[in-house]
Amino acid sequence: MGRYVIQRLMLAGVTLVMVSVLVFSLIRVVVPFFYADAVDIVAGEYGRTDEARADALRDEYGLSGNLIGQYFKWAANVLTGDLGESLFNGRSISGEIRDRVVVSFELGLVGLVSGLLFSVPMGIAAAVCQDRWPDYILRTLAILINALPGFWLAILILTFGSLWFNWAPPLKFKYLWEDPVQHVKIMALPALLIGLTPSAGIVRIVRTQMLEVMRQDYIRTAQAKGLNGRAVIFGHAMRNSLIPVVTVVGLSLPNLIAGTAIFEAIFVLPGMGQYLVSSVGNLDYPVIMSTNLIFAVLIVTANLLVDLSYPLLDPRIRY
Amino acid sequence: MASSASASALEFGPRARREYILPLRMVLGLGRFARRKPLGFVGLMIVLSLIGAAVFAEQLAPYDPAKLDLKHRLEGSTSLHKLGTDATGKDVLSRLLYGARISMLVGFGAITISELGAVSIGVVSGYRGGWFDKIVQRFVDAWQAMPGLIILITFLGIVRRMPNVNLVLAMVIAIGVLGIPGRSRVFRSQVLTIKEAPYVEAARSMGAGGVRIVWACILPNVLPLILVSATVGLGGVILAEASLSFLGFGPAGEPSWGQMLSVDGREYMRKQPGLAVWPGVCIALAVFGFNIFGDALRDVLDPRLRNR
Amino acid sequence: MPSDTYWNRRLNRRRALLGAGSAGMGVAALGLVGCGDDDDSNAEPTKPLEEKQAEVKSFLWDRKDTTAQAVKGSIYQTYTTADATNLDPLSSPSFTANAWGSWYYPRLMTYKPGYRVAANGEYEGYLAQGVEQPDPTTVTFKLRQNAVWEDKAPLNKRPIDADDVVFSWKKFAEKGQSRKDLVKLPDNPTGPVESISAPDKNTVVFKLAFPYAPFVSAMAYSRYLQIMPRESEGGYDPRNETRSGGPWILSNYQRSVTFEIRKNPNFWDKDRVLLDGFDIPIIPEYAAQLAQFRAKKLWTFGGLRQEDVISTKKDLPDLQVDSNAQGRTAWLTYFGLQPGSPFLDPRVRQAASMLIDRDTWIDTFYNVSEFKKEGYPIESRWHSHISAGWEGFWVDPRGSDMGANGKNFVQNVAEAKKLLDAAGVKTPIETDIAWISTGQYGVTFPKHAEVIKGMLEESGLFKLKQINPDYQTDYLPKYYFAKGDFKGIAVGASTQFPEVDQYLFAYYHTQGSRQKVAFQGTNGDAKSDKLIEQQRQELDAKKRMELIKEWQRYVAGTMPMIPYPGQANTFSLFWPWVGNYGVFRAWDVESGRDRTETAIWFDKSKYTG
Repeated sequence: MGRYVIQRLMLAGVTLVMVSVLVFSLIRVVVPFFYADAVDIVAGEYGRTDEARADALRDEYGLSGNLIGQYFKWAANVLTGDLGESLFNGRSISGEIRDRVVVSFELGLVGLVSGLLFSVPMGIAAAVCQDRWPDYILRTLAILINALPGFWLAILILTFGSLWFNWAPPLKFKYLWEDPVQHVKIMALPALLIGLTPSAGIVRIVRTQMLEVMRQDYIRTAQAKGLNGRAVIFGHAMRNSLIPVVTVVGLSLPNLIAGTAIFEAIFVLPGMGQYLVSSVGNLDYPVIMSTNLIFAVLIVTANLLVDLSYPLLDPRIRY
Repeated sequence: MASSASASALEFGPRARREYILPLRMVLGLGRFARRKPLGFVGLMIVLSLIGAAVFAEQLAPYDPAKLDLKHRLEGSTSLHKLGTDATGKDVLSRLLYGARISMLVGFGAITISELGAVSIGVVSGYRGGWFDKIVQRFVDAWQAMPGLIILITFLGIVRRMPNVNLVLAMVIAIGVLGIPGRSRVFRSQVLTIKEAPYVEAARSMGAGGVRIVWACILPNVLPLILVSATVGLGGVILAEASLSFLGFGPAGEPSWGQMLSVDGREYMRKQPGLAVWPGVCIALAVFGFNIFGDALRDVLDPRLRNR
Repeated sequence: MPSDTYWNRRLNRRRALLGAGSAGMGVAALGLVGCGDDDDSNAEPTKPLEEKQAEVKSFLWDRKDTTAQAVKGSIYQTYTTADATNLDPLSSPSFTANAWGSWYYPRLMTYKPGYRVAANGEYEGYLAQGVEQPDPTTVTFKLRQNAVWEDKAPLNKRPIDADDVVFSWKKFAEKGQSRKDLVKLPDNPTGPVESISAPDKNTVVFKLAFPYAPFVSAMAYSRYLQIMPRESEGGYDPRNETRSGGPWILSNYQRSVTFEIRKNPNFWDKDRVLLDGFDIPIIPEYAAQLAQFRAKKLWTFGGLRQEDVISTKKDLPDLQVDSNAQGRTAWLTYFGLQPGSPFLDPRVRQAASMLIDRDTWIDTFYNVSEFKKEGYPIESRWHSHISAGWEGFWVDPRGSDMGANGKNFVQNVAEAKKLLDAAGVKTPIETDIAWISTGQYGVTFPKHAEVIKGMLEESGLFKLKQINPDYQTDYLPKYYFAKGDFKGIAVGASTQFPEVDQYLFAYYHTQGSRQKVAFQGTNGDAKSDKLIEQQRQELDAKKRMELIKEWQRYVAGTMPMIPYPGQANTFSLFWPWVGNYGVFRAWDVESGRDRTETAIWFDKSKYTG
């Protein structure tokens, strides 16, 4: 077990290094090679023609000189917890991310939970009615819902909710600890919409696993013992079929969190995705690098948790 | 399949015969498929019509998708414009048809890259095994843990600023490459089981080399898996393309569904709901079609599910 | 389409319910119920136009001054579309910082608001109490003595003095985005301001390089000199914090979420301020903005699409409608002037201008015909080489004042073809057309450009390849600042300048300091240059106007670039509880926070939200 954890942690390290090298080379090698760099944008529309000012800024931001040295300097700072500051407003990135990660994480998590609440029962029902019409309808429904682009639904709901019911979401974002009611009101719709996306996958997995488990000997034994159908399904089959669901959850959590970028943009939620999109817009490279890194950390952590949870869920699995 | 290694002299015989009856088999197979998997058949029909729309956009579209009709801007359905017009009077139907082109191009392009990469990595890594497999797998693990959409946003946000860059191509490559690791694992595990199968053992004992075994024994067994994973994956790729275009990271010049939704749909929806509705319907239909067809295909082709 | 009609039905049903509610309408209500959606005119019983015009006239906002009844207090609810890049107006790379800064950083001068009619660019003292011009190249500002900074460390109500002005000017001259409009620098020898000094705590003296007519008015513009405390260097971080010296304070700024503006209790003229403040959340999504406005959570909706004005007013009859003045920006279509470019020949440029169907273009973007049909008073104007909004300066291309060159603005494909043949150019001219497709110039801009391309091509005389360069890295250096060194045609925006001179000089003068787009591939146009120089040094306003008119008539012939086709007045909607809406009208919205926003009040008696 211990060895396994160490292995996984090392792997996480590799992922993080890959992400940081990739993003670093994109921004610091590809960008300056093909066009300009962030300094031209910091200097502004009318400052960019001013070479002297651009050079001064380049020095100020540590954008001149040895690239490999710059990378290690940046990495060393990150390891000591210093993510640097935004080029444009000088705000500490760690501070910004601390506030924002909560929002994105909550959005992803609530989305996931609502997705599960809706798709696990659907999967079970589909399995119980295998190859009969409820099965077809539920599966089709799941796939249909999965196919609807969430951002499209969001826009439709905003427009027609307003036109038909004069409805509008709360105007201003509030953190949970500031104003819980307002917070729930503003987060509910985007979270629900986010939950729709992974649901088809979950329905499918729950269904197949249920079918598989229901064929197992111990279920037949239970049925033979005369337990009624409901007890068998909920008492035995369901618990065991949920293990692979954990895998799906683990795999979809990062995408859920990343997918929040779109909903954060539409519903004006101050999360990580919005931070990334705006920093990509003005080439705020310290922010781009940090957000990518933090997203990678989130995903790696989610994977790790999923892997470590298997032995807890299923005693047959041991590392 | 089991005889293929020993039957090199007869190689042309069976293959030629198989090709001869292929169209017939396809029709029969399609009929059986429609009966056994009605949903999947619906999916197949959707997929085929989308491909048709993409390929024959020029013939099907009533107008040039860039043609302006300022006298009839922001109209609903009329006899001139079946699905109405956008803010500068461009024909929505024509743009949707051409939009199918971008979606299919990105979809099939990215999936091809993903599958080719995944098969190569999965097969080689799984077949070679040992330390090579270990290293490759760790690398694949790390690759898979990269935050997909985030990397895409970063990558496209940077690449789109380059002069004369083909954003469609950039999108295809980026989405394709990010799709490799997850798929390669599936292929690898399949290869691991096939590798131990008796007929592979037999081929090996008869002196067949690694390349030949992979080509003749392993690839044919992996092929159905490729088809399944490609079809199932296409829906996701189309959705990814639409999302990126919606966020403004897609190509600007050509009509794409995500971009239609993002630009005219969002801004002029109050006046002309169709501008937001139709592109969304197309995206949903495409994703739905590929997913439902892929599901059915999986049931039919996936060797791991065959005995269920 | 089935779903379309479905929505129309839904909309109608909803409207029918609303209609039934307003019983006072009597028989007319029956007519309203049957009155279809605004989109399908055929279902609507045609009311005579006069009746519609009378109806619109009856509800069009009369800009009644209610200051006498005004009750103080309350927070105005409005929105903004984007976050600020940072909050330092004197060094930010984007003008968003200037727009915010004008709430709380004072300026030497300010624009006089127009009273119930459009403002005309007149100015008066803000921080300055008096202006003297002892000789044509010396301008002295006397500062008011009762102005203090916000009660917040490290300033704590310190008086605003001349050193702050000198500090701000020096920072502007070094880092300001628009510094080249005003500051004479080694790389900007045509800049009008030579130096600044502060002989005492309350006096600032500017030395000009030449008599510069628009200088004092330029001191009122928010994109030039905003006065910041010298403690903003070292004492606090001006990129993230602000210290007010004006009527408003930025009391709360939550990045990406909201701005909150509150009344400054230490403002010298605080009795003039009627509201307690403004809540300004960031809402980028149009659907969300509209939803909030319809739900009465926003009091005004500046971004309402002109296409949605009529239907929204019909849906929510309580809304007030105000007609806005003509805008003062004219964006541009300009030409690549590389050697061998067909556009080096003025006849080709004239021909291109003749291919633009100006009325259709205006109709497309200002919804003119629909407004007319519904009886709204709307006037469309064609731009000359300056915007049609420059009242007094503008020469109407359709008017007799323009003279013979007015024909270059009228669509005439046959004549254009003749001109191209005379110039010996092979038609169709195959070349590139470039514009940015991202949002920097607003969401409608790409459509403006698209229509210009469409009109050039429709004639069959042009065959254009669309290019969408990136704004920062490609468009600005390779088109906007390229001095004509690019291939084909480019469509772009210009800033709204506070004074017509800055526009003329920046765009049309050979030495144009900022955006050198016209003439630059060639040796310039001596006559045009001369007229521009003459007008900026002419201190007699009437004579200056004449010079500018003469210049317009002249360039209408040489056609250095094609100005935007034209514009029409727009309409805005607001809820009736906004007291004094539009009564005090800003010359420049961003520079008007100290005069227009202070005069608005909350009329609780009309509040229904």
